[in-house]
Amino acid sequence: MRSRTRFALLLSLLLLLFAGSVGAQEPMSGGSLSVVFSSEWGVLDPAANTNTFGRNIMQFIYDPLLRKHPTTGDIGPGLAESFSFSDDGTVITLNLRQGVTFHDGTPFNADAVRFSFERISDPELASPWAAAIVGPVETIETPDDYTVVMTLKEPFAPYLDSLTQIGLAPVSPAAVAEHGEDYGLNPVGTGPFRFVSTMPDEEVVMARNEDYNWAPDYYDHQGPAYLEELIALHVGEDSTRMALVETFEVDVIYSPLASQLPFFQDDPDFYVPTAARTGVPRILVLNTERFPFDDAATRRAVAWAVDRQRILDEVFGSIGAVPQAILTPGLFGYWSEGMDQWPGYDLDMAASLLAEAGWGDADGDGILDRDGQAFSITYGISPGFPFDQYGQIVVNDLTQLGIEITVETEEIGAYLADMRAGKWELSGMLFPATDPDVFNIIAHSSSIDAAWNTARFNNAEVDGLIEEGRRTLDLEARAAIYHRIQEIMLDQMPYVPFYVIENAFVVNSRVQNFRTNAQGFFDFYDTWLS
Amino acid sequence: MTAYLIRRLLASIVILLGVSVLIFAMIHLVPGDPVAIMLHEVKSGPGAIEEMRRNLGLDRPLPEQYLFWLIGNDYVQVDTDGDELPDSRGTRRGILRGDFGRSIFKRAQVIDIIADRFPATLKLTVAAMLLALPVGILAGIVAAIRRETLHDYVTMLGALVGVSIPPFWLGLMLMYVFGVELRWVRPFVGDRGFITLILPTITLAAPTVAIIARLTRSSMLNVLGEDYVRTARAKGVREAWVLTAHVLRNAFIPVLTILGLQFGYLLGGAVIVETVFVFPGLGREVVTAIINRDFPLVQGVTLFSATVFVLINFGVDMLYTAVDPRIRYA
Amino acid sequence: MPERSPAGGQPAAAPAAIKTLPENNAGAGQSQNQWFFVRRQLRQDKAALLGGAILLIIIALTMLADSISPFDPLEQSRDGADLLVPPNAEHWMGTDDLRRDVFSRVLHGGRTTISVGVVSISAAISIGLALGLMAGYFGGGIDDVISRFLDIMLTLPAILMAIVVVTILGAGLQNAMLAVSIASMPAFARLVRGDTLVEKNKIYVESSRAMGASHWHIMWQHILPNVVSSVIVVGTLRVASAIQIAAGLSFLGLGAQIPHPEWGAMLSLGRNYIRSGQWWMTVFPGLAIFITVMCINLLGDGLRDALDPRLRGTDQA
Repeated sequence: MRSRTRFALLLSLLLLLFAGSVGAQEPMSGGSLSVVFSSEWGVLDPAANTNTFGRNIMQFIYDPLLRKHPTTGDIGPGLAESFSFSDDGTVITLNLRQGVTFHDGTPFNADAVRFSFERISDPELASPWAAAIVGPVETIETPDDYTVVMTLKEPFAPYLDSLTQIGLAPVSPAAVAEHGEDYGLNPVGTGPFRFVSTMPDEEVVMARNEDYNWAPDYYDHQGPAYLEELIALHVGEDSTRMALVETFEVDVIYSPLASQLPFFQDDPDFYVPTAARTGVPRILVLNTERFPFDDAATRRAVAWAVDRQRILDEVFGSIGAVPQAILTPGLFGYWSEGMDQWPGYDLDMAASLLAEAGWGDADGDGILDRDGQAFSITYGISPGFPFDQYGQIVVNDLTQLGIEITVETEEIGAYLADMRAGKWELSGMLFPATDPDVFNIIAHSSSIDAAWNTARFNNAEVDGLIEEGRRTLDLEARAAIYHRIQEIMLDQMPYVPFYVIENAFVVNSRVQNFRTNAQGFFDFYDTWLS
Repeated sequence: MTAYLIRRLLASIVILLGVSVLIFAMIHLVPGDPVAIMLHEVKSGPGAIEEMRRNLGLDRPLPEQYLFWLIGNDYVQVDTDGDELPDSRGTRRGILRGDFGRSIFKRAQVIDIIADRFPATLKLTVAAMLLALPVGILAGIVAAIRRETLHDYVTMLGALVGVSIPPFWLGLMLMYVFGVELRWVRPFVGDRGFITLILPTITLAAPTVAIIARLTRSSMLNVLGEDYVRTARAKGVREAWVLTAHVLRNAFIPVLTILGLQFGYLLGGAVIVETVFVFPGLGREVVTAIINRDFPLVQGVTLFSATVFVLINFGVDMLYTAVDPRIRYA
Repeated sequence: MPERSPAGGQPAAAPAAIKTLPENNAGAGQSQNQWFFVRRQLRQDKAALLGGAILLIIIALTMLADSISPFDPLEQSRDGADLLVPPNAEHWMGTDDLRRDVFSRVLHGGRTTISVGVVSISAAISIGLALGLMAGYFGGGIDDVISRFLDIMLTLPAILMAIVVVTILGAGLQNAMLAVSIASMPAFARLVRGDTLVEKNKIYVESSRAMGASHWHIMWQHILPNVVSSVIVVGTLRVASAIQIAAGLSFLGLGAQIPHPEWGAMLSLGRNYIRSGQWWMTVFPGLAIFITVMCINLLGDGLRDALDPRLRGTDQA
């Protein structure tokens, strides 16, 4: 199956090369590209929105202070031309790029950066980023127009990663003053595309920023983007989205139906690129506070029972990978030595491990039990793709081991709340991230109830390591810390990873230089139309 | 008549107040809150959820939240920094003074969102009604006059098909056939002029056509059997005159009754049709708002649609008096 | 949306509000004649008979699903080759995206779907009857309170009401049933209230009251039998709407509980496989819904023609 994925990749690559060699070599400027997202994106105010698609659209309009290389993940210059950490790790100095203006013509400078930061901590705005991004900062100073000095309350290694987030992208102070609470409907940034108009959550029309005079060095070109116009649309119904790209009404769609992908892969009018999402793969959450998953041996046994390859092939159309760690490959700190020890799919192995852990069928009812207590669990899922599909495979797999499963379906809002409160023995989630400090949210004991430690995993050593990892600035030492955490997670198995997310897109073949960024988002800066 | 109007008006206000309490109570009974949904995908450590919930005022007791939503909080000191001490005046004026509040996710004024979205839903609903009324009534009349002929059977079978096909299915099929395969209707999504109105209108109207056709047929048959019709016929009045003057006029009354209710159905039906055809209406908006727990938006939109529903039925009642001489409001 | 108007925009429900007095409902003893008449009438109605017969067969098939279905509806084949297989001799309706037999799932799914329709509407009728009878019979303050309450319920489109209920209680069969009954109840209550208002002023009711009969006795013995016919008619027709609401909930991702099959959910999932050629995933559950809803409607029409005295009159004209 892996080879099929590779083949598809190769094919699309070949198609790209082919298209490139036949068509004009030189990128052509002009044209309008329309891209379709699969759900709403919310307001276009970086401080107010954390939505995946919202952040993607804002990447066109705004520039983050620092940029992450799309393939290596290295953090490099963005709106800040250079940056430095003090030796004790508490002071970050950013030297800002000069000669950049916001789309409204006002200059980008240190005051704008400070303004954007302070805006996030305004309680009136109720910014979702407040605690995460502004929380660690003690003071912000602006010694001159193009220097920003941030002092952190304590050394905080993940902070550089935070500075690559779109949530911290500078907004135009003049525009905020002008539009006030409606700023998000009239966003003004420094990015390669400027906002033109919107029907909230339906359509955003953006036009090329003709004054864009730079670009991070990993791009093919500098200066204004090639596309003259960029239109983002929201189409929630999968079948409708597929019909739109099939009939050439739109150029690029997000989240295509896996069932139709082979047709688009075979059709010369389209190609199907993919982009991996780093972070934590899709994981099954085993509630470590409740019987029967309060026992690590049982958790380890169950990990062998999930047919990950089948989920990859039959639910996700073979796009993505079977995970071999609790982090995705490509994320800083990924522990590759652990790959061979990671459980595969082996029902016999699972059964024998369960027997070792003391499980048997003493009362002969076909359901495992231990000390008179039946292996009976409730599995919480949220409806719709892909929960329904993989959820049913998981149920099928675990049932074969003699585990009794009751499924409880709740729509996403209730599901998230109940999962966080530890309502079920088994549930599932995913956690895209660009820094391994994601462990703080999913594995630190203080994140039980308060954040997303949904396995309610409480391990003093892991807590300590996470805290150390946040303070450690030396990359090698920091990576070693995360390796150790992954080793413990493998042994303790609070989460069973089963699918490394890779997003697929269907793209009209007139679109050249289709790119995605480090977060797996669309990046149309180098893109042009033939 | 005036007394009746006033009574109806008062009753409407009671209904709308009741609806607002009901909506508020129901939506807040729902487990889960907008903050958890908003924060689950970003790096939000411990504390972030509580802080944001407090900033949004979601940590306050429900009656207080309801009261603030209804009559505002600009006359009291509220706590904004979480130290349990009131520190500044609230900024909300309350729905009674026209402040519907802001959507938690969209940050826009709820009233603006409604103003943006309602025209599309209204357009779709009215178009569906304009299609359903003549087609349904005509089909019903023909079926009634030609009772137990092929005409009748075909029409009634058609009506059965109309009520039996789930709208999402019908919509997708229309889209595949006319949008994707034949490519007659292009573009086929969004709200981009007359052409994009065609398929969603047909989808939305289908069950209503069926209901109106059946209702017209049965009330026609009903009236055809009345004494005054027999009398008219016996007197030798021309059949066409009998039909128009006596039968149609009276047969239309039950159709009128369901007209207002049918508008309500269409508003609800728009939820699914808008989803299939990416029509930027209020129906789709409210489903997303419910799922996201965007409390101000759900409350605002449902209260608004309830108001529209009450107004339409009020109008229909007034129409009655015009059409049916038997009804008098003393 | 599958459901009709929230207030029972049903053919029989709507005229009830302005219904003139039926001519021959004169006394309690009359209901037996009526049922005799209904039977005779129904026997002559070939469409209703056919509908009823097919419906019986469908119900029998779904009730016997355990013994007649060739596969376990939940069983996912261990063999990857059983994924999305077109209909063949072994799998009459093919297999689905999780390697399960569609025919077995259609048989079992019917049980869920039909009981959603029947159970939810029965519940809606029971509550609606009680509220409507009380409001119509006692009038005054009780009527005001109940009527306003119904008005409030009616202003929310049924599908919205159902969405909110399912959001509060979680998806799943029971909650979907509850959602559908809450959404359908006001229509019945209104209908019964209207009919009760007409009945309670009849001479036989007044004389019964004069003879010292209790309210309970009058409601139960005299009024109920005379309002029940329109309730049955509307009820049959609304079962069809209930099935449609459930399918709509599935489309919005708020439907039945996986992995248990349900027609609406199957139809809804199958829509993603139409373009890629796996038509069997959606056509068979779709046909099942279509045929069932159609039969229920035919039967309901037949019942209406048989029960509604005014339409009976037109037959003789």
